[in-house]
Amino acid sequence: MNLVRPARQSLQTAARQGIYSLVICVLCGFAGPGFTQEVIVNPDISITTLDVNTLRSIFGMRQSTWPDGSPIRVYVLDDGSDIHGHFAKDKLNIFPYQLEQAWDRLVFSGTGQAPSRVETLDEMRERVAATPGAIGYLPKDWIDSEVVVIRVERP
Amino acid sequence: MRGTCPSWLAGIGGPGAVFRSENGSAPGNGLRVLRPACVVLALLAMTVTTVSRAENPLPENFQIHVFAAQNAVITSANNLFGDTDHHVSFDFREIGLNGSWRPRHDILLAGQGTYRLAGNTDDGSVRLDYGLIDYAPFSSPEYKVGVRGGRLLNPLGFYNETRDVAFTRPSILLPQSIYFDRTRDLALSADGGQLYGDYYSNLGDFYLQAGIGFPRAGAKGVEGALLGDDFPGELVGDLSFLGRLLYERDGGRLRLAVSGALDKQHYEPGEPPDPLPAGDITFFPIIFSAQYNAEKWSLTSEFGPRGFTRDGFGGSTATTIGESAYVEGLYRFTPKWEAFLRYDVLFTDGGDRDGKEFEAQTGLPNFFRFAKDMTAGATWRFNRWLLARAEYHYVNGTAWLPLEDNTNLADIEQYWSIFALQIALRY
Repeated sequence: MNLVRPARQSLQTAARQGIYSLVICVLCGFAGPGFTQEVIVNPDISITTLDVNTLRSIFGMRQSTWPDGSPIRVYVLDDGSDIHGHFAKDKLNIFPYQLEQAWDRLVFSGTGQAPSRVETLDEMRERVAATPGAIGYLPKDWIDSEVVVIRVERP
Repeated sequence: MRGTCPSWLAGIGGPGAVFRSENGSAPGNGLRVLRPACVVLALLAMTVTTVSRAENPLPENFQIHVFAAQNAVITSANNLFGDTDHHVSFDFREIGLNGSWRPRHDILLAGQGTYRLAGNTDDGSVRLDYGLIDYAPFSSPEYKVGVRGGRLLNPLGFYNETRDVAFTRPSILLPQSIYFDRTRDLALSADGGQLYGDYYSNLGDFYLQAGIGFPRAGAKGVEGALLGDDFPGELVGDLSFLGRLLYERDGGRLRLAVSGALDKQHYEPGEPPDPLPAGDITFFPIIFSAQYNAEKWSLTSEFGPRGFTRDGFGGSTATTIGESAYVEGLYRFTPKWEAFLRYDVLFTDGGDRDGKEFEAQTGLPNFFRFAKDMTAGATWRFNRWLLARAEYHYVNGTAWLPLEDNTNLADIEQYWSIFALQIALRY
């Protein structure tokens, strides 16, 4: 019992430090290595790279099919999450509020649909791995062999 | 009293051959109607929380969304969407439910029903705002081309299509010079078809929409706004045209748009004695829109001429070109808190901006023909589905003031202010 407590405490300390460094990252507008996001897709997707414009129109729910004609399924974390915020800014070069506004405009004008929302990183990985045509994003440390990482090209 | 009057209302949708000065019905009692509104909002809030915590039982290609807003309005003079002159009125609220289904990747079915109450200008009926089928046979990473049919939202300016959804706009009242709430149903959607094309390039994204259809001239409040009263006859929408070209750079950092419409309707007199002879109304606005979005701030402006022609109604043909423009700056203190400042101006007749000619011709006050609105407001986005807003307007002139809530013209004042609060939900 006594052996467990220090371990738990050090875990809590580590978690606290993680939160602090996250706060610092947010304040600096800088994504530290632990928070680097990668774009991930379902293994049935044959492409390996996407340019930033295409990626933006996919996550903006404007582009609904892959080049082979199969439907795209977009997964995102909650708008308020830091991981979502970093993904939008670092990978899409867009502010989270712009993405949210773009989705609202599509949904409430009857011209498109919103992306599917997931609550946790585990759920993100599971849904992208299990859904044909799926695309999402995860921090590097959470990626396993069930999903494929897409390289993002910048012009 | 009813009588013909030389287009003194002519302008954005507030034009008219005839004015009214008879007494309208007494505005509703704010407190009496507040209670059901609270119950509805509370129930919605509970549903939203329950649904959002439960597993989504619907298939992924079927989506349901809800939005609702309850507003409290008080004015220093003149009534706006209720009995607001020195009273707090709660007679301004909206609830909408929309659904969309994508049975195939190139087909989308979508529809929205809305309940809306806005003082005497809207009666709280439920109406179909849109119901459409969208088919996009040509789609690639570079472009998308498709057609839509049914009851379609009119793509005018940045906000018209989603004008009722509080989360999609910066303020409680949209700039009234452009988003005239008196003719809301008419402006919102039309029955017809639309061709659209999207082009995505390294220079930016281009979105073109071109539509043809019949405006909802028979909708509640339209006759009142266009003709000045509800006459025995009927206002019928004629074949009309509408289009918008929208350009977005860097995912919406810079947004530019030009939209225009040629909106036609005619009046068919009812059984005699109908005091109003037959006539045609043509409304042809052009709107230029520009927006820059930075992380902390956004700058938005929309402006344009608004043509209005009235032909028949027992008089000669009259064309008026109105002018509308606004500039707005919005600042985000945090992702949850934002505030804005806006200056919005409307001239019903660009050739008579101060309304002096109008006054000489009609004997009515010149300030009926312009409105200069200085607005400051703040929004608190509590979470993804709840927000609260407050805003203050100082207005010189009454060009866009709904007359349904101000039936005694002699009581209308030139300088007035509005204070409004809003609670809005969406899911």
